[in-house]
Amino acid sequence: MAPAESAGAGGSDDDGAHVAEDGARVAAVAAVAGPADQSDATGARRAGDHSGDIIDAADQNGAADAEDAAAAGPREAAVRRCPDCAAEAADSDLYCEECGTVLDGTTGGDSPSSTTSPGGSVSLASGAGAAPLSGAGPASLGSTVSLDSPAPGRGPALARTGRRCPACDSAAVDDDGYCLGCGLLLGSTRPGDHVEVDLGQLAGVSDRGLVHRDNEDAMSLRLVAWPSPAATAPTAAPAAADRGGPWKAAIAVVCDGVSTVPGSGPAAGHAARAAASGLAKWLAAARPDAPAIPEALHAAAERARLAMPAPAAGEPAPACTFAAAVVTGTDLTVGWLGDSRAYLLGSDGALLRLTADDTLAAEAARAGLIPLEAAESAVGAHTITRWLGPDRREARPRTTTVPVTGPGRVVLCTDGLWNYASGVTELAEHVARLPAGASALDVARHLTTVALRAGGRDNITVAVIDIVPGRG
Amino acid sequence: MLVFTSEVNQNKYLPEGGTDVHAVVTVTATTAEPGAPVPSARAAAPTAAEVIMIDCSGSMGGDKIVEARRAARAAIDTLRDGVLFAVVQGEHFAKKIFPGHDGLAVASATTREAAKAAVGPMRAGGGTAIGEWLLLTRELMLTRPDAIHHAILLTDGQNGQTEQELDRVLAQCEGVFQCDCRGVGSDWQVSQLRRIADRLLGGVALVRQPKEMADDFRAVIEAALGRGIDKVALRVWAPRGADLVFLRQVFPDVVDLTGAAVEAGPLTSDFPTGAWGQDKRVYHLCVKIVPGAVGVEKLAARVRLVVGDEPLAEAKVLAGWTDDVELSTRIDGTVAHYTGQAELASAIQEGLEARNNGDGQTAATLLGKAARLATEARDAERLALLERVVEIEDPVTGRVRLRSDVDKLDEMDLDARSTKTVPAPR
Repeated sequence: MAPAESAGAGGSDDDGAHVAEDGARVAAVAAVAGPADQSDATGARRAGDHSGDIIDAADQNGAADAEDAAAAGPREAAVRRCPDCAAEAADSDLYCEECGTVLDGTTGGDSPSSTTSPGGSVSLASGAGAAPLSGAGPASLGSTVSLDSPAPGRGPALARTGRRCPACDSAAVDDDGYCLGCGLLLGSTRPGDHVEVDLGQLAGVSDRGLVHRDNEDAMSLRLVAWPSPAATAPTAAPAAADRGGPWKAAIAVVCDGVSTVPGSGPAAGHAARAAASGLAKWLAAARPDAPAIPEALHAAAERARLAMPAPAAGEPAPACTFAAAVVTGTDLTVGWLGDSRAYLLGSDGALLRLTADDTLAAEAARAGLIPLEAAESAVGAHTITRWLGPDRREARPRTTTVPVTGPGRVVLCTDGLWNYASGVTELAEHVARLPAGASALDVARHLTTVALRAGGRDNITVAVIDIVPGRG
Repeated sequence: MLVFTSEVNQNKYLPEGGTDVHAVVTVTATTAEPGAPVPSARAAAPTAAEVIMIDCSGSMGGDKIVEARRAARAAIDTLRDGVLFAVVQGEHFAKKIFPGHDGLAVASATTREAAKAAVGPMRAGGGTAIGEWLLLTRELMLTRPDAIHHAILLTDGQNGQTEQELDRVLAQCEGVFQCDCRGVGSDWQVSQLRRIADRLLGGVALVRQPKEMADDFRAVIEAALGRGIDKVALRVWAPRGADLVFLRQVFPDVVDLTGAAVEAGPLTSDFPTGAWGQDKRVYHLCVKIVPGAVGVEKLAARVRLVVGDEPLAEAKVLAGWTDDVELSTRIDGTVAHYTGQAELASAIQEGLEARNNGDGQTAATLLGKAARLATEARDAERLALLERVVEIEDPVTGRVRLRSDVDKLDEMDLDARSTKTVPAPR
């Protein structure tokens, strides 16, 4: 989408005016969120598995928040730091003294915002040993194995290459460098082209799509212990069970960088991370009876805006959409600016679109100037009227809160998905094709696939939160 | 001792947004050179078990039963010492006429003579319940689960059971034994025997003259006994989000395996292929995968031939997206050839069906297409078969005229052999 006021950059993002060069983005080497489980062949990142009461931070690009990285400074092996604000912590601390984040067991450079992981998984750009795109003409790959050599290890057995797929994080990579989860030839995409984050009940997928040169979408996901530590005894430090179980609040933020303004992709990444970390801090410090998550969403959007780098003099300011969802045990609150959306798919069949696009066409439709059904196809259907940008005076997202009354799913997405499944019913039908026990990651992957198969003309980002009533 | 090799033919390049990947995988099993590495335990060929099912329904009277007895004797003579066997007489019930004891006999000079003597009194009379014959054969095979199980079924008529009854039986027999089916005379139904043969991983053929039966039986049994490794499966892995559109064997004959998938893991399915001897089998698969951007390359499928979990051969099917139209529109010659061969098989079957339903126009169109495809494949034998059913006016465009005086046996022969294919030119 293009902001309505961005002079000279009008038209939709399908015009093909993309960011020319984006070194910063390419350099943002993907990192896994937390210690990766080497034995996990399913490929999903499972940062949420190792503890019941941590804060799981997972950003699409894995790059540290600018502010956080600056605070962290050079890596010190023995110093334990808060994964969220990078403040120093004692080994015995369960919570960060600075921001209230629940700390996990890792120390020093093992924090989720580091660019390497203990699993040593970040050898992804090398593609060493990968089969090159061989010359034109039919390919022929085969093998010969004689029946008298049944010894394991001989023949076309899976090699333990120690590499992981940069897209789906699967550890199953064959001898030729193909991922045995998603099929990707390691090295044939750039980091950030396809990113998956799995926090269990909360997961997201961001994909460059088939046409755009860069993935300028961003997402950031957090799980926060809930009720917050602050809501319990001031002495704190109890085990999860003492607080009534490992309940968590889920936070998802999706930002779609405006492709017509250079730098919007990285700016979207900064915005998404800042918003998610702001919400996490707010929730970690809040009492359950604290007022108004919508207020927290406003503050988070403002934090996101301030995190976006200012443009060089004379350059247009980067811009991105904003859509955030917070699910606690009792409520679902969303806030948005622009045309990224949130949907609620209730298990009881209740289907809701929770956001109303901030686009010229949608506003015209709401004003009765054009038919409602033209809102997604008319001129201006992708020209956003509200957005996040360092040049904006403030960021004030519209918000909606609905009570959590039963199980279901929240789908947060950029227009790269909803261009191909706009109606909530249509979206629900796609999800219904998955088996009953599908995880949040399964849903996010499936919806991304739907958009790719339909043409993938834009970046696609889908975050999914499984709602379990009373459990955040 | 068999050595397996595999080869893939495909054009891996897809246009932007392309999802359908086609590939032909050729698997060849040859015996190892003399002096090859020391055989493992598995090199000792497992025992073979052979059951001969002879239709003895009323319609088999005259020449047919005489030749069937002769064929059974020829088959018995083909059984080398040590092979387990039995002879089943089929009517509206099934009766084991040899051996007289439970289970299977072990072939030796003595048992072969005794079996041939037992075949002598076979008389035609009664009905045709092929399902019953198959069930008895299954029971006999299950007495020796360690063997490689093969059966041959000879009939001259149509099964007197409902399709559902037969399907139920086939489901029970699948995986227990393989079965080649032979029809003699013109009263049997090609499609019915083909259904049995397809499910039981065998072939179907017309024996035109009763006196041809003996030679045919001998050849079928020799081929069956030449198989040294059983329960071989194709194990197909496809990436997450992919759908297998089809998997079909395309050489030596066309068999659609798509529906035979057995889940073997999260992204993996097994397709039974039965026992292998010195074989060359070719498979055509089509996978619909999640597209990648231009420049991305993916593994679209990995095809392994396995016994249990032991891989015998492996082939990789690739996909790479390109904006070079010349690359993405190129069609691999081998894929094209076998696509044509599969189309040819269905054109013949559907063309003959239309002809029998009195729809001459559709029949001429489809059989004309068959003539064109057979011409393209330089398949002279097929053209000769077609020529007996249609007059081929222009083999290049496929213009044909239906003949009015067609020998029923010629039509059945064309139908029965419709799935036979010719190899792709090198």
